[in-house]
Amino acid sequence: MIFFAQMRFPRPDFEDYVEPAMNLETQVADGIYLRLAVLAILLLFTGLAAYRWRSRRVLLLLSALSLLLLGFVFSACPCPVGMYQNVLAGWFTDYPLTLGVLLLFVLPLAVALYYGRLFCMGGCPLGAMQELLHFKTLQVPLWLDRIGRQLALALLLVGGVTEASGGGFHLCHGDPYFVIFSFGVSWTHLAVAGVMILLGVFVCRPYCRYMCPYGVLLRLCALAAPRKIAITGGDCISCRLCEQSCPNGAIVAPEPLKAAESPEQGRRRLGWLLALTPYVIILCAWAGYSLAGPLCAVHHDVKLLQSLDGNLRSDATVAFASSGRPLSELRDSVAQQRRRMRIGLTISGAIVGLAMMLELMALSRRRSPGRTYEVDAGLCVACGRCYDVCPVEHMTVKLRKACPPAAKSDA
Amino acid sequence: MRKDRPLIYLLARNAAGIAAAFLLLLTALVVSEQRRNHVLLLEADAVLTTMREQVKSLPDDEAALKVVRDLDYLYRDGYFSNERRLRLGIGLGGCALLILAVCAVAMTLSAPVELKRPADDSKERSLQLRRLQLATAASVALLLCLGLLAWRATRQNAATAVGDAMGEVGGAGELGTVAVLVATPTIAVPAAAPPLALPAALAAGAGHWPGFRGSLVPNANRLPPHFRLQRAWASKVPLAGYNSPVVWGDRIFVSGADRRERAIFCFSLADGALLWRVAAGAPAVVPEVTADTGYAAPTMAVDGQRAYAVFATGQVLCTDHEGAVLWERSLPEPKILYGYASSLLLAGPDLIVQYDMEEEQTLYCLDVTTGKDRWATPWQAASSWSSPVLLADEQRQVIFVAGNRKAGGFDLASGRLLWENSGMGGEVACSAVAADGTFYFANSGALAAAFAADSGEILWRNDNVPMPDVASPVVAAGVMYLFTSGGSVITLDAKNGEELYEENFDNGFYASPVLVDGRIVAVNMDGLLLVVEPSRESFKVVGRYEIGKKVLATPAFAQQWLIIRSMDNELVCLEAANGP
Amino acid sequence: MERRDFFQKALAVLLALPFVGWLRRGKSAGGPLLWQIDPKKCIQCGRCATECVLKPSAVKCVHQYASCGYCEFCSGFFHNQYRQLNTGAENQRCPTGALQRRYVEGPYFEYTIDEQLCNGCGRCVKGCADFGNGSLFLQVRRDLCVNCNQCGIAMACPSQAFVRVPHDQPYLYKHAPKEPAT
Repeated sequence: MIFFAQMRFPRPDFEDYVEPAMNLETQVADGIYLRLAVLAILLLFTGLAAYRWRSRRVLLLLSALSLLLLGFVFSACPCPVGMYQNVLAGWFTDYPLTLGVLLLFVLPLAVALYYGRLFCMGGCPLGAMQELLHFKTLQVPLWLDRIGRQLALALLLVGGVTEASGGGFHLCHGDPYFVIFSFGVSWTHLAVAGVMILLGVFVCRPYCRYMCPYGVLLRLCALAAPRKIAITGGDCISCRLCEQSCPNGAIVAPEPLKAAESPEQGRRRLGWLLALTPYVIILCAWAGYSLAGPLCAVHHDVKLLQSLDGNLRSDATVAFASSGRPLSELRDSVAQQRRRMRIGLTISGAIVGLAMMLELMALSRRRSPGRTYEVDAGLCVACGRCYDVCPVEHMTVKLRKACPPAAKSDA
Repeated sequence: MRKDRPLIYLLARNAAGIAAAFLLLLTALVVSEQRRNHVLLLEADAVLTTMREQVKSLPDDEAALKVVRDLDYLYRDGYFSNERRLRLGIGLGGCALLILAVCAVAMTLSAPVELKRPADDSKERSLQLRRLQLATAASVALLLCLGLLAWRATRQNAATAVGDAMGEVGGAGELGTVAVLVATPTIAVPAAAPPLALPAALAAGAGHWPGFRGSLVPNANRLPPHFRLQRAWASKVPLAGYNSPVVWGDRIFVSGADRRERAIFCFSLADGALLWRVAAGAPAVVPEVTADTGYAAPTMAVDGQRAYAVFATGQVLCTDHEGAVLWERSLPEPKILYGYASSLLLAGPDLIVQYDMEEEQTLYCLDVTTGKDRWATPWQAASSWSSPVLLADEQRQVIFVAGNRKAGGFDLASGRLLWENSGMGGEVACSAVAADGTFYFANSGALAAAFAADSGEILWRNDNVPMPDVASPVVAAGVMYLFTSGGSVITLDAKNGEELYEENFDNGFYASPVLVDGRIVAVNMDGLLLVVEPSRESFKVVGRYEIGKKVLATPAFAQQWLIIRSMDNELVCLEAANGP
Repeated sequence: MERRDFFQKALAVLLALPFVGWLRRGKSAGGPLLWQIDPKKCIQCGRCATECVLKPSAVKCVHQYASCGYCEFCSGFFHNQYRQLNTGAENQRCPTGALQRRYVEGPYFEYTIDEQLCNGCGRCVKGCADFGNGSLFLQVRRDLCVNCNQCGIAMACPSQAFVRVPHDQPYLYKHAPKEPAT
């Protein structure tokens, strides 16, 4: 490839002339460690507010602070939500993976592994945007909620496969709230952001629950955490007041002592589900395999090769012609991308199928009697709404204020 | 449920409502205004661009000038004020969002806790479970449908796709070059195809006359064994130039130039009508040239889709066969004594330009579809008026470049200088000819020699014969013919360079001889056209014809027609009819 | 409980894996890398002005004066069908008037870019590259760019000219001119 700064016209010898300075910075500050520090501090305080102080007010303020700092003051990118794409790109392509990116990806997950999804409330500007602009809760029925969460899983997998085969970070490009954080002007993005915000006014955290790919990973880690948010500071009396208080559908009711269906029915259903699972997995895997073909078109190289083979002229084909890149190399690269997409999407299809069946089976599970109201650690985002509703909590708080507290251990 | 709400809550709620309504309204207004202005600005820009170019052709029209300048001012004013309004809109929107967020926080902090009635759950759970089962089944079914559609679409594409997907490395013998295709949508070119790879391009060119000396491929044009020439038509070329005509199909391309204009002309083969002319743009510099070189000395090149010309200003112009400009570019510093004269060499998807100027010497390889460099190799030589020659066979593709100081061999694929030989003596204007893995070259003041294509080693040289200084040599049947400007024709044995015989004519040969149908065709300054049967024994003239004009340019052949450009800039077409 | 403990330990190991990979690969320059235009690949298609999330775009034209010929007929300033070699609007390539011409001495003129007016459309760059020295080229300005994880222009660029550069080399210059700068 030939450089184009060819001196067709030699630079003149001037008598007295001072050429202007080019004014280009030689070094740019790297803010990622500062961003990590801010995130770590916010997460620390969120943990304290959720477990120790048990105060929705503090949690809300931390949320607003994360929106301000991590959304607007520091520019929105990079944020942990999209970092999994960078990590995958670093593994499978030659994107240079740096320590800062890795830490940004792992820190909220590590916190979730021990303390649950604190990031969603106190560290994520997208979550804060939804949390603050939610006014009237419309409860999403359970079945819709559970099936909707599979969409987030699908986005995680499809996006991940696309990155691993060398495509761009499509989920960052398609993030609905980014256009607000960057004060950008892109009409489609603004429209999507508007729709999401409007939806968020009525449905709590639509992005977090049904579209956030990072949320799937957080859910997985939080499920394994030894500690989770307790609704009440004292002992649950099953007064049922908290049942409808969680707009995220994260509160799990204990089984009524009289179950709606007999154990026999339950076992039979579970048996059916188990038997169907392999077929569902295979069918979804096949669907993923066939979808790989059209989905490959998001890759620049694949589109380029299609244009070349189809004798269509475009800027990309013209640029390719003058780049000196051999056509055989392009074909090799495209073949590799297609292969990766196919394998990746087949596996993704299988995982989505498996996840759907697991979700069904989890709901069919019988719970041991005597359990109280608890949160589903994988779904609870530590928003603190349930604290305010629990009467035992109020009494415990009053008691704590009246006499100095002994160390209360949460369940 | 508490009935009374604190004042702060009510205030915050109302403020949030106002801010939300304001934000919505503002967004709608800004979006609609921006979209409208965007379209208007684009249209204005397009109009301005055309008007700017038209104004050039109206040098005295002050009113038109004013119109353009006013429109430009309006455009710029509109552009920047639109931007200012957008920034204002964003600023206001940001403030509204901030207020909304603050109010939202205030509302939540001051809101009374709402206790919700617990739902009736005993049937609820199993109902939800049933619905989830249905939803899961529906999702799987949806996935399968999508998969089926994708499957069908892929199958359809695979039926028409070209060597794709599972690891097949396709491409038909490209010789390391890029096979790109072009079909510009505005031109109705039937069955547009990619520029052919070198062997295919050479084979295709053999049926036409695609460059200087017919590009020296074994030409498919045929001359009847006995023929007489009769005049078919003559046309005047609007601008002078010493370049030779080139032919593709039923079109003849020549270029012409003077100080003010450089253009490509296209004539019809059937009747000599001027089909179109296309001018190159403004040059950066117009060098000084002598009258006997002019501004359009290099001969054009043409392939199935494009015609290429280079001028003494260093401008390279590429058009299609219908006269639309495909690309144009300038090469640097066209400063050379007499004027630039190296003709273009077309090699499949590559256009080779020998650019040996006084101060810098470079061999360029341009991509035919875009004009951008595929490679450009500078080398330390001296000025040259010779044209490059390509030797292409299975083992090698070597370009021979001759100049005042040295001769060099370049690799076509990479542009690497393979060898150079400093045997040249003086100014070089003749071009070599390639045959049997060897380059044959002769120029008076330099040498007559045979160079091995791979190493540049001189196989033989002969300094004792009169040599041409303009007309290039030709090799046929193992005999190398030199047509000199003194009027003599010398033949050398191609194997060892020994002189075989000599023949003399009254006037000198400036036009390079060409090989057609195994016979040599040469024209001298008197307009005497000779058809010579190559022979080791004697000079066998099998046809002669008096054109009646002075000829400097090499004739072009198209089936049974000869096209000759005379020194007085007329394009003459002769038909070779069968007969004595 | 043991099952969950095991699950937790397994996930912790999984989370540590990327660090192992990173250690083995060796350290790269710090921070998530910045977007920049490789001027050798750029074909001046004009998308830099329209695809950026920001308006005006974070891409601006810069002028490498050391490579400039200071020509009277500047092919980046004037378009090929110019009427006269003056700053009349009908002669200029730049649609916003950002490229400005100033007489220096002899037949030489200085061309500077007013970044407030430049919108990154690349028309002057194309003219300069095709017919001139190529001293004008497009670059992403670091004080304007918000460093999206996925640059919108990078996705649309037909020649894949958007590359990531480290923090200590935020601009990609063109090849140095052969003659030393005076």
